[in-house]
This record gives sequence, C-alpha cells and structure tokens, in this order.
Amino acid sequence: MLSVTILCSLVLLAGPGNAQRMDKVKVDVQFKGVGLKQALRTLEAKTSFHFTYRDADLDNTPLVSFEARQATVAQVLKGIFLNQPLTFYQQDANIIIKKPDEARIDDLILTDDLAPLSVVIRGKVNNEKGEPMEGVSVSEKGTVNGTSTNAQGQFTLIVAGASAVLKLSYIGYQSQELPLNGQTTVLTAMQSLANDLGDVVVVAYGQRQKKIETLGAQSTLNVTELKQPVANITTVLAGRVSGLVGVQRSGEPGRDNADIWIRGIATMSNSTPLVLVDGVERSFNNIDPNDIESFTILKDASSTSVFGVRGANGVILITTKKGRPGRTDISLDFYTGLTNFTRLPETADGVAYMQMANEASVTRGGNPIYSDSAIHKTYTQEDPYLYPNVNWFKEIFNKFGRNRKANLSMRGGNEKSSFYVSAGYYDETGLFKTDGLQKYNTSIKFTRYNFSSALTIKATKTTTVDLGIKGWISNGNYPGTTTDGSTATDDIFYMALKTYPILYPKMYPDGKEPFISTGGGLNSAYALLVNHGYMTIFQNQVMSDLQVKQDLGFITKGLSARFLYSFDASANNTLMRTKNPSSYYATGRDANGNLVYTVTGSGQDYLGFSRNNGGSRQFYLEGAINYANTFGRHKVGGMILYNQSDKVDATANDLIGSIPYRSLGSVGRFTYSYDDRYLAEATFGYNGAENFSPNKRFGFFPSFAAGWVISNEKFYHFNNVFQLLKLRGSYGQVGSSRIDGRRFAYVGTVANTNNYWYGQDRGNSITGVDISDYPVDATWETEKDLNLGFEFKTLGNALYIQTDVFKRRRENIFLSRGVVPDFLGIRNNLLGNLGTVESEGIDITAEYSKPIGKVTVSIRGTFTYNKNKRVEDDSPAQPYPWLESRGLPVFFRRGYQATGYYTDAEINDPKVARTTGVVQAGDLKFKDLNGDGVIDGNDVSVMGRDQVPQILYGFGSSIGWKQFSLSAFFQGTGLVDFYLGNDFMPFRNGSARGSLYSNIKDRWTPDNPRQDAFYPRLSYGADINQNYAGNSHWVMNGQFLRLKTLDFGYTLKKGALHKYGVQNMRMYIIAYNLFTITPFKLWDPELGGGSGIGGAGTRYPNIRTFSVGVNVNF
Amino acid sequence: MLGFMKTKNILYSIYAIGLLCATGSCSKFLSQVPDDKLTIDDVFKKKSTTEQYLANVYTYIRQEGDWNNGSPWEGLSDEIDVTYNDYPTYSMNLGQWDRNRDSYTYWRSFYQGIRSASYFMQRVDECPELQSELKIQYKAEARVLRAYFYAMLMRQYGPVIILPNLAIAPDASIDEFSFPRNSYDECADYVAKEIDAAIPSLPVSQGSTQEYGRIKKGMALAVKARMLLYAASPLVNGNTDYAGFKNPDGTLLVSQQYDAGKWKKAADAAKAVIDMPDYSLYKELDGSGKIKPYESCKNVFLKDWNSEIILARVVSDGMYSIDKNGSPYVLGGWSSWGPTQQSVDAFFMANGRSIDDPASGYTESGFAAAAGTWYAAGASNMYVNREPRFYVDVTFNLSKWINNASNNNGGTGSAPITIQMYKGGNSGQYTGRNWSRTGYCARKMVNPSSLVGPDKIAARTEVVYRLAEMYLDYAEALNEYDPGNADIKKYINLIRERAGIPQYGSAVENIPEPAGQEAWRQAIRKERRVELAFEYHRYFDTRRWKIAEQTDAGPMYGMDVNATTTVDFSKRVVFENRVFLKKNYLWNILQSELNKDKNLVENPGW
Repeated sequence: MLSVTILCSLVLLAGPGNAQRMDKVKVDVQFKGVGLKQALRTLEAKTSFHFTYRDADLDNTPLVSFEARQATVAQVLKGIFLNQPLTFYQQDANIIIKKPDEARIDDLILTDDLAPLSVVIRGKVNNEKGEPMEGVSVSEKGTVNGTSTNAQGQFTLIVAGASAVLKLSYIGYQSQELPLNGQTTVLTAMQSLANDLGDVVVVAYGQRQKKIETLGAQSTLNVTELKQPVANITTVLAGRVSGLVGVQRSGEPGRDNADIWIRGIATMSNSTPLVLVDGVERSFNNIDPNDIESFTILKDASSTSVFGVRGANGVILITTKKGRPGRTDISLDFYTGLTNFTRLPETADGVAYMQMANEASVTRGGNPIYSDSAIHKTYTQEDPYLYPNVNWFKEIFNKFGRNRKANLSMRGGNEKSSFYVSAGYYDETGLFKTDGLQKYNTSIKFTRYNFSSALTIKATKTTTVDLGIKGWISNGNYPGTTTDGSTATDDIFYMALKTYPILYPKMYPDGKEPFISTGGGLNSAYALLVNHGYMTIFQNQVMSDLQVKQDLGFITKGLSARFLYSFDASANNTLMRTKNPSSYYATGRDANGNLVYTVTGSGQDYLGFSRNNGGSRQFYLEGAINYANTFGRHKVGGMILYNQSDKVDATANDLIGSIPYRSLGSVGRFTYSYDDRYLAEATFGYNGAENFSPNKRFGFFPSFAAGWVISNEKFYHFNNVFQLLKLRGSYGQVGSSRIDGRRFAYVGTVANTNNYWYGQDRGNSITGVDISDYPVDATWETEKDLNLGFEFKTLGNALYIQTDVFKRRRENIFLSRGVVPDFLGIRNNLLGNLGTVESEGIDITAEYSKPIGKVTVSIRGTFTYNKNKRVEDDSPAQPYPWLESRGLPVFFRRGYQATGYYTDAEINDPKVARTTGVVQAGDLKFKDLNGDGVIDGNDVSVMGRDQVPQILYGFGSSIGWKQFSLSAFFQGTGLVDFYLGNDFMPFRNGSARGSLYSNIKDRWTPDNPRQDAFYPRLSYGADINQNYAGNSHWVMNGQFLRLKTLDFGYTLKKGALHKYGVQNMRMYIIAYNLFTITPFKLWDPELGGGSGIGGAGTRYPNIRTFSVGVNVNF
Repeated sequence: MLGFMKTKNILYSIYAIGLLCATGSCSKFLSQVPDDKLTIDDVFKKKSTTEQYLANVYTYIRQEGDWNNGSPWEGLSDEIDVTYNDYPTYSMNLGQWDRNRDSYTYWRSFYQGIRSASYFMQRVDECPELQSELKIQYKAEARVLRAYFYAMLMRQYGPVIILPNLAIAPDASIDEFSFPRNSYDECADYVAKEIDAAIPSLPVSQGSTQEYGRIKKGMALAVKARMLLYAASPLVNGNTDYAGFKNPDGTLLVSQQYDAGKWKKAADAAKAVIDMPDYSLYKELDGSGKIKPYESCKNVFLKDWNSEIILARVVSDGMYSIDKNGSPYVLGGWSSWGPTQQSVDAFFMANGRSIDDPASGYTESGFAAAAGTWYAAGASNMYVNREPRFYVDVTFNLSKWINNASNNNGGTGSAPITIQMYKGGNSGQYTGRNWSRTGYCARKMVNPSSLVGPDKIAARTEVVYRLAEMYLDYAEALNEYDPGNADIKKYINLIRERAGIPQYGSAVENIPEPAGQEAWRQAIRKERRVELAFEYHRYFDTRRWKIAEQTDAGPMYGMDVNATTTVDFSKRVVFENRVFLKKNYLWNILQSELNKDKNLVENPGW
C-alpha cells in the first residue's frame, strides 16, 4: 500500500508548440533493477523532457528493469510503468505521472499504436525437480536469435517485442514454446521427455538415445567416479561399471595400465575391447578424467554389431567435454597425496634362511649347508660384508612416495560458438630409494601434462563445426636396469627375491657392486636400482578431430549429416643412460682384515647411451547421414555411416608390421518406437578386414533388438510399486578380425632363421630362411550374442536396478591347428578358424538415492559374473576324459590333484601310488586318477580357476549432510585363482637362487607332521620329487575385497566466497586402496601369480594413496 | 548466407569423396601387401636365397658341446656330473622323469630339419640362377642332412617315423599323417640307402676355403658308419626285451633275431671312411719325428679342420660353454662339469694298463713327493703316472692349469696355477655354486687360448665326427662278426700309439694282447671310453651295449669335496645315487604327440 503524502510538485514550464512528442523522441536505455525515480532522472538527462510526479506515488514502487535501443520515450515509459500502478501523459515538455484514476484520459497516448519494440527478456529455467538447468537453448521463435542458460539456469535475451514467443529446448526434454504476452521475466520448468528424468546415453557413432529408448546392454559410469587420485583411469574402472572386468597387475608409475575385458573372455585369441575416444579408436590410459564427459561400455550385439569386425570384444565409448553456451565456468581441481604399497612380498631373514637350508639338506640325508658359526655370525652381524643379512625390500624402498595433480578448465561461449579448454598436470614419484653418491637420479618420477580443447562453431543456422584437439605429454624417469631387456623395473623386484639375504651386502665398501653368477646371475637389487644409470621415457599423444554436422531439415525434417575426420599421432622415446659396472664378490679377509675380492664381472663403469623410439599415426574418416522424426506417437530414426581408418606403427620391425593397419566399414542403424512403450531396433555393420583374402574380406553383422516398457502401458496400475518396468532383448552377430601375432593371414611368410657358418676361417656366415607361416584362407571370428535385459524402479523412483543376462557363442576362433604332430616339422602350425567358445553371465547395476531428512544417501553397486567354456579347440583326442580340454574354460591350468602329504605309513605301503623321484613322508601326495599305480602325466586334470576373475563387484555409498559428504567404494573379485610360481619355492634351486617367503616356518617336519602345513618336507636342490611339479597344492585363491576409495569432503556454503568470484568450493580427503581383505597373504593378490620376472609377486605392487584436495568453481 | 553455402559445398564434396571410396577404391584400400615381398617362391628364384634356405637346413645340426642346458648326453651319462642342481639333468638322474617330461626333447627340432631338407630337395631344381652341378650337390647335401637328422632321432628314440620324401601339406587331415613308426631296421636301411644315393653327388675334398663345413663324402660315410654301428648293437639287434614293442598293427619295431650281418655292414661302412685318403689321425711330432701324445690329443679339438676332422660345426660364440664350464673357479670358470670317479678310473696308466691290472702300479695311497709336468707336489698318487689322455681330459686336485693365467681376471703369471679342489681351496667348495661335486673338472677341449674370467673365448669349431671314432667303430664291429681279424688290433693300436701308451702285441714295449673276442670287446670298449671321453658318446654307448643298468644306476663316486685338506679330500665318496630304469634305454615320446597320431606307440616302459 502506498501511503500518500503531499509534497511539492516540480513543474517546469516550456513554450507551447516547441515541445517534442514523447512518441517521437528515441533513446537508448539500460535499466537493471533501478528505482523508478532513478530511471526517470536518467531519462530527463538523456532527453529534454521533464517529469512531474508526487514523490509519494513513486515511493515503494517495484524496481525497474528495462533495456531498449532506439525506443521512443513513450515506449520506454510504457515498459517501465508496465507493472506500476501509475500512468503518464505529456504536457508540453512535461510528462505527468499520476495514478490512473487521477489522469486526464484524453492526454494518454494509445500505446497500441506504437511501433514494435525491442524488449529484454530475463528468465530462469528449472527442471522438474526445481533445480536450475544449464545449457538450455532459448531462442525467439521464427528468428535465429537465441542464447542458452548459464549454470544458474538464467538467461537474458533481447526480443523484438513483448509479444514474442520464446522457444526452449534441451536434449532429452520436451521443447517448450512460451508466448511472452508482455512479460519480460520468465520462470519455467522443462519437462523431460521420458519418465526417468530424461537420462540420455551415448551410443555408437556419436548418437545419443534417451535411456528409456535404449535396447542394447550398456552401462555407463558416473564420470565423477573417474576422478580418483591415480594417473591412469583404466585402473579405477573395475567394479564401477557392470560388465567390465579389470585387473591391475602393476602399480609402477607410468606403467600401471590395468587389463580390461568386457564380459570376461570369450575367445582364445585376442579379447581386448575396442576403445573409442570421441568416436575414434584411441587409447584412453592417459586422458585426464576431468576432461571426460561420458563413459559408456557397450556389451551386447545390438550395441556393438555396428562396429563389425572390431566390436566382438565389447566397446568402450568415451566422450570428452565440449563447449557449452552460457557464462564461462572456470574450474580448478588440485590434490596432493602420499603413496605407499598395498603389500610387498615378505621374505624370511638370513638366519631363518640358513636354518631352513640346513633342515632341507639334513632331512633328505645330506650335510648341513651352513655351519653354526656362519649362522651365528649372520645373527650377530659382526661382519656384515662377509656374513650379511639383507632385507632387500627394505634396502630399495622408501616408506612413501608422492603424487599430485592440478587441472584448470574453462567452459563457456555463446550461441555462435562455445569452447572447452583445460590443462592438467600430474606427477608421481615412486617409492624407490636413491643413492646420494650418484650424480644422476634414478628415482621413478612420472610427470604428465594434459590439455584438451574443444571448439563448437555454429557456422550457419544449420551447420555446426566441432574442432577438438587433445593430448598429453609425459615424462618418466626410471632406474637404468635392463637385465631382462625390458624397461620395467620388475627385475629389481625379481632380484630382491632371487638374491637371498645372506649372499652379499647391498654394496661393498667403496661402492663396489656385488654380483655372483649362479647360472643366470644374482644381482644386488639395490645396485640395480642405484648403480646402473637411469633412463627417461618421453611419450606424447595428440588427438585431433574435426566434425561437421549439417542439418538437412531443408530436404526433409529430421535429416542431418555428419562428417568426422581425425588425425592422431603419438610418439615415445626412451633415452637410456645406463651402465653395467664391474662386479665383485668378497671371499674373505686378508691378514690386515681387508676384504679379499674376486672379480665376478668386468663391466663398463661409465654411463653408456642407447635409445628406443617409437610412434604411430592414425587417420580416421567417418561420414554419416542421420534421420530422426516423430509422427504422432511413432518415432523413427535411422543412420547410415561409412568409416575407414589407417594407422601406421613407427616401431614396426618388419615389412608386414610397417604396412598401415587399415579397416573400413559401413554401418546402419534403424530405430522405431511407439509411444515409449514398444521399441525396436535393427543394426548392421558391414566391414572389411585386411587380414583376410579378398574373397573372405567382408563381413556382414546384423542384430535386432526389441523392448517393452510395461510401465508406460495404459493398463499398468502398479506405479506405486514399480515406477518403471522395462524388458528388452537383443540378438545379433558380431565379429573379430584380430589375429594375435599374425597379420595378413592369407599371405605366406618367409622368415630368417639361424645363421650357419661355413668357411675355413668360419667367416662365411649365411642366414637361414624358411617358411614361417603358411597362407591360410581364414576369415573373421563371429559371435552370436543373446542378451536379455530387465530394468525397474521402485521405492518411489529411489531404487533403480538394471539386470542383463547374456549368452555368447564365439565361433571360427583363430587357433593354430592343435592336431598337427611335431613330427610333421612345421615351424608354425597353420592358423584356422577352428575354435568355438561359449560364455554366459550376468551384469547388474543398482542405484539407490534418497534424502532422509537433511541427510542425502546414495548407494550404488555393480555385479559382474561370467563363465566361459571351450566347445571346440582343435585339440586331439585324449586317452582320458580329464585330459580333455573341451568343456574347460578358455584359460585353464592342469596339474596333479594334491591330497595332502604322504604319511610314514603310506610311504611304506606299496599299494599307495608314488610320485616319481626321491619321495619321503611329508612330500605331496597326488591322486592316481587312472588308477594304474603310477603318478604320471596321465593323472593331471584341471585345477583351480583362471587368474582373470569371474566375479567382479563393487559397491559404494555416499552420504551428504549439510556441507559434508562422505563416500566409500569397495571393489572385490571372486572365483579367481592363481598359481604360486615355482621360482621361490624353498631351495628349489639349492644355493643357486631364491629367497624364502616369510611363511617358511609353516612347513611339514618329521617332528610336526601337519597335514595343513603350507610347505611340504623341505628339500635342497632341484626337483628331486614332484612337490613343485604343477599341482593343486599351489593354487591360491586370489579373491579380495578392497576399500578402493574413501572420500570425505566439505563444501563451502554457497556464496561464502562470492566476493572473490568463487561459486563453489569443495575440500576433500581421499584414501585410495586403503585396505584389502584377502585369504592370500604373500603379496597383493591383484598382481597374480606366474613365474619369472614379473611373476611370483615380483612386480611393482599396487599403491595406496592418501590425498587432500580442493575443487573450486569460479 | 555465403558462409553457409561454402560449408555446404565442402560438405557435399566430402560426401562425394566418401561415396567414391565406398564404391570404387575400397577393395584397394585393404589390399596392401606389396607384390615384391619375399615369398617362398621367390626364395627359389635366386641363388643367394636358395643357399640361405640350405643354410637353414644346416642349422639343425645341433651343437652337442653345450652340455648342461643344450645337450644332456654328458650330464646323464656316468662320465659327468653337472654340478648345478637346478639343471634338469640333476633331477632326471634321480629318477624324476616321467612320460610328460619334455626336457631335451629334440623330436620336434630334428623333424623340422627333416621337413626343411625335404622341401629344399623338392624345390631347388626351380632355381634358375643355380648351375645344375650345384643343384645336384646341394640336393645331395640336404639328403645327407636329412639322413643325419633321422640318425640323431634314432639314437634318442629308437625306431622313428620315416616320413614320405615330399613334405606333407600343412593342412593335411589327421588321417593323412597318422603314420606308425617304422621298425628300427627299416629306419637304418632308409638312412643307409639315402646316404648311398647321395654320395655320388658329393665332393670329396673341402673345396674352396669358403665352403669348409659343407657335407662331403667322408661326412656322409661317417654318419652311415656310426648309425649302422648303433643298428648292429645289442639294444636293437635281437633284443628280446622288446618282444612286445609293436605298432598297433602288430609290426615288431625291434628285430628279435640277432643278425651278425649288421656288424659287417657297420664295419664296412667305417672302413669306407678309414680308406678315404683324405683323413688321418692328428699328430704333432717333436723334432725327432716322435709323436707328442699330449699335444696331439689336446689339439685335435683346437686346430680347426685338421686332418682328423670329418665334420665340424661352427657356433657363433665359439665353445663358450665348454671353456666356461670346464675351467675351474679360480680362473673364472664354473667348474661345473665334474667327471665321476668312474670315468677317472677308466683312464689307463702311462704303462698302458688299466688301474685294476695288478701290473699297472696304480695306488691310491700316498702323495707325490715332487711336482710332475701336470701336477704339483702333494697330488694324490692316484694321478701319478697316468696316461697323457688323462692329463688332457681331467682337472684334478693339485693339477696344473693349461695356461699361465693367474686369476679369474685373465692376469698372467709365469707358470700355470695349481688347482685346489678341496673345500676352501681355490676352486673347491665355497658359498657360491661354481664348484665340482666330484672333485674333478673336465678340461678336455678347453682352449688354453681362452681367458674364461673375462669371457675372452677363442673361436673354433666343434668337432662332430673325427677319424679316431671310425677306427673304434670299425674295430668294435669287426670284433663282433669276425673276431681275430688283424684289423682289430691294428686300429686299436693306432689309437694307442697316438695316445702315447704301449700297444697291444708281442713287441717288448707292448702289453699282452687281449685273448679272445670277449677280452677284445672289453678292450675296445675301454679304449673307446677313454679316447672318446666327454664327446657325447658314452650315454649312447652304455645304452646300445645294454650295460646302463650297471653303469648308470646306483652310487656315483667322486672325491670328498667336504674335506678341507688334500689328504682328507683324496678318498672316494658317493655324491649321488642315480636311478636307471629299463625304460630309460629309449627316450620318452611326449603324450601330447601320441595323442595326435593314433598309430604312434610310446617307447617301452614309459
């Protein structure tokens, strides 16, 4: 209510006839929430008009917002008085402002007569839940004029007049048309197209589908889950996406790639999935998770058959962030943390080693290996150079390493062009020690710089151009050890176990490096680490793509075309400054007490140099025509696409490898849906593969899918129980043309063999040549793939469960012929499409989220199970059924079935079958499967499961309360075994090599003949019996449950730092790989088993990190 | 609008290009294997590549001298103990050897050589650049190599599968290659006939210096001689233990009737080599024209292509394995080939008598008061007055080394270093693993020019066939079918003459001639054991003579390597008890191979 107070009125007189008309004088104004009086004063200043009003009339009136260019004063006034309880009229040069009832009607100007007026419209767009929506496109109907909403959902748009109609659209939401009817502020809510909040998922070839419409089995990962304190995003996927099986076998910085399979393994040949980043086959290990917009895996035929001969092993689709019109968002993310090992192998100390060696020898009737005095001296450490007792792992590792990361990104733009730019930095130092005496640095340090830029240009009304350039550069520093010819540091771990604790000290005085040859050589792990030089590995990858989208709506509505061209290049470059110093072994002390050395290797004491370069480049080209239209309740879509790629590997070693790797294909996809109730889809891929002869080169891979959204049926009345019920199924064919280790199978190869030397002076050396591979008329592997999916929502949309069961049958698997006997003398057996594998499994994703009072709770879990079986593998007929490999999993191991240890009574009983060799009580007893009284190769059968887990699961929960959030994520594996490599079984190599694991005391002894002991009766020297022959005693259960992430965060109150331009700020603490629960105690079970360098726990273990970080949005 | 039109045009042209590709050039896009890539057909178009293919066939001649990892023939015989207990020979000697053990399975490798040889013979005629004489010669070389590979398979596996002469198609069906084994006699006939067929096309002499090492007539004959000697031996000549050793169709694989005629064939074949004028025993003479036995016996292996060599194989790193394993630890060697006491005992005394001959003068008590040429003062009397070949072959406690190297770094002293084999001695037991478990080390063939510590290995060839073996083969075969033939004594005595020990016969300086066939048989076997010691023969000899159950089973002796003084050290102790079962006469054929050929039977006992 206005309180009326009479005050003086300002009246200024001007000469009649001179006065300008207020509907003729034009003016530019820009009022943003100003008072009415202020607005009028501004107009007075800009024109020759004077305003007359009663102060009281203008007090407490709403603030005015109005912008106009070249509007008449009358229009301006009409605009600003639109919602005011006042009116105005002109008297000469005066404009009188009064309440309408006091106005002189005849003086009023009829505003309807006025010309159209530019009006500034402000608005806010929310979604159904009332949350602001960013990126909604807002345009003036019938014009090209448009903008999009900012992060707060707000927009500003100048329209031709207050009667304009606004058009709002957002993918996955119902477009809206809003007649302004004179309003200049708009508040509206967008309605999602589907019931389920309009989730949109990325499907093949850049297409997006509403989640309700998808028929293929695919799972998506919430990309925020990728933001873990690790360098390599392949390592965080396991357990977070259903259907994906991942294991990380090394934690070495820069070399910590996880192995990934989709729905397990379905073939004996190549089973690695296809990875597409922005539609192009690329590696994603080093992409900064901050740059990732979406992460999807495609699992069944209906989603992968479009990839033809590339899609059979499943597809990982990653899209990176693109520009977005609206205000410029700046986001900064930084964390820093400490790292340490999840678990290192633990070894027995020197004294235990010597005591056990003596026991091993004596218990088999031999002499003690070490004298009591030597054991005593080892214990007292009175002469650590001659009687050392080295814990190698302690000598080579620091307690903690470090990692840290920063990422700065900017995103914004307008309707004409938008951008996304980001730069990232990551570094990690390993846990290896360095030696202060060395002039060079051997510590592991991995540094990576990422950049990503995406530019979207609306070139014309119907043409959009996307340009993306992304890449990374990494630099790694590593110790110069290359004993195994590779660049990884596994050999340091291997030596730390191979060289037993009492052999020699880590270094002799004066920096003499110890070494002794035992038929292979025992290096000091410490010396390998610090005394063999260093190497740097520099790698980079540039990914560039140019995409043009053309709306062909002028031909027919819903038609569009897309063209993508990409060029990628990568390079890597290893510079090795290494040496292999002279080595010594101390045999005693001379009369003066100085160590007496023998030279065990004359080496090269100064750094040498060698290098290793590699790289690749790839062209990819894709053109597609898309069609999507709605006819009432019918919705149809179609796509026809052509693609081809061409990749050159710069590290090729031979002619065949140097030829570009090429593929091409065309693809079709047709979708139909009726009223979001009945869904159907047909897709095909038609691909050519270079590996096959021209007449077998092309493959056609069709698939079909159908779905039924029961909950959208009119007769459906159970909305109170299940808010969504959807059934879907797909069946189709996919293929694979990848043959491991063999390209162009249709071409025979000739290869160099060994040299033979003729000549009196042995100088006439001739390199042998022979047929290496015979040509084969092979063709692609095909897979028939059935998938049934079931999705529902319940508990008031709070719980969502998606379940897929699948059955796959892979046929024509490339194998070398298994029935060819050795006596045919064929060097490499013929490849053929010989194998068949069936696999089946289930993937489940469950999500639950609900606020409970002020606490928000969300829970998410995934479960992946698969099993596979060889149906045909071209193996010859076996004499006993347990030797048959058909029916076994793709990867199986065979061995004797251990049934405990022989007792004295059994040893003396001739009826009990004996293993071969020197067998005593306490040695492992095996089942005589064929009952012939002899334990031999006919008594082996499958033992344990593969070391790729059959069950992978993950579950996590996050809880939010006020500004705090706490989330935890567990990941686990099940149905997984590995074989304990034989390398470090007690004294298997006598004194030649091999430390003992710390559990050595857990053994069978005559005094304590435990059947549950870990080790059998010790023995000294090679396999005098079959205790260490492949047998089930050494199969270890590799399952584990790991607290992968524990994240505690605090978000500052909104607006708390507004004056610094900070929109949002979150601080957090993350613990990664915090603890692991596993029955296997000797090392991190995720490293697996195996033997040799890298096996038996001799790998850089996975690491645990503790990080603190901050995330700021400006 | 101009911008729009432009973009649209660009877009259309891109589509046009795409369409063009989709219709026209796509098949080319994937057909990229260059036409001028080397194919197997191309190999036989040029002389150089054809010769490369033949060189490939030669590479299947195994290097026998890589005893511990490459070839087990010494470590599995009663001659040698390979020190390292992580080597397969160790556990195999202890009986840890079942049908699935694939250590030292050369089945695959020799059959690959056979296939390559057959394929070469099939195709060499196509080569337009090769003169026809060379084609004939090369084909004959391949033919002999193939026969040699069969012979190598026969000595390990007994009767084997003789494949058709044409290489079998790689995609043949399982029934097309379900061959049964051929009987041992068939195998022997085949190899002999193949060699006979090849001989007319082979050159006799070495030819140009570049061609040394190729198969010559003498080599072909030597292969045949040794193979026929094996084929005449008791293991496969009327061995009734193998009465049940049959193919599935009942074919006997080893003859059950002893046939003395096989010995004649063997003798004739050896004599054919002996009669070639190209070969003679290698001898070094002193100024007065007297044989220097030590140098002769040592250097026959060190002087490349000397007159005794019938075939030598060159290996890239010389004889690294021989030099390294045969050198004692103090010189940087690995001391890892330890002759057993049994093989030490086999050497004669300097007076030409066996140590068990009461007249030999051999004693195990006492120690040498003064240094001898090859040992230092204090050496056990066991090693005094032994024959030159003993000093050539064996490093024993307090023996002098073969060169003046002073340490493992290759430093040189003024005199050979004395090797101490007792515990704590310069090459005896210590914390590391490079010490002999028998107290001996095999120095035969170790090159004095090599410095093993710094790995400076003198290059040379490996002797595969030499004339002395032919003498011994001939004498043995002759004694079996024509005892009393004068050639028996003649050729054994030629060996003894070169070895510098008294010969058999009636002359004053001689020792009594063995009386009768059996006595000669033992004398020949003794002589063979000594002359061919550590040359990969003993393993096969004990088997073909069917004596391995006695020689290769039970306690194996050495010196007491745990003793810390020479006196305590010099006594016989058992270092291991070996297991030899009847099945070990022939090697196991892997079950995986049997599975692929239903007509292939396993060797007896496995």
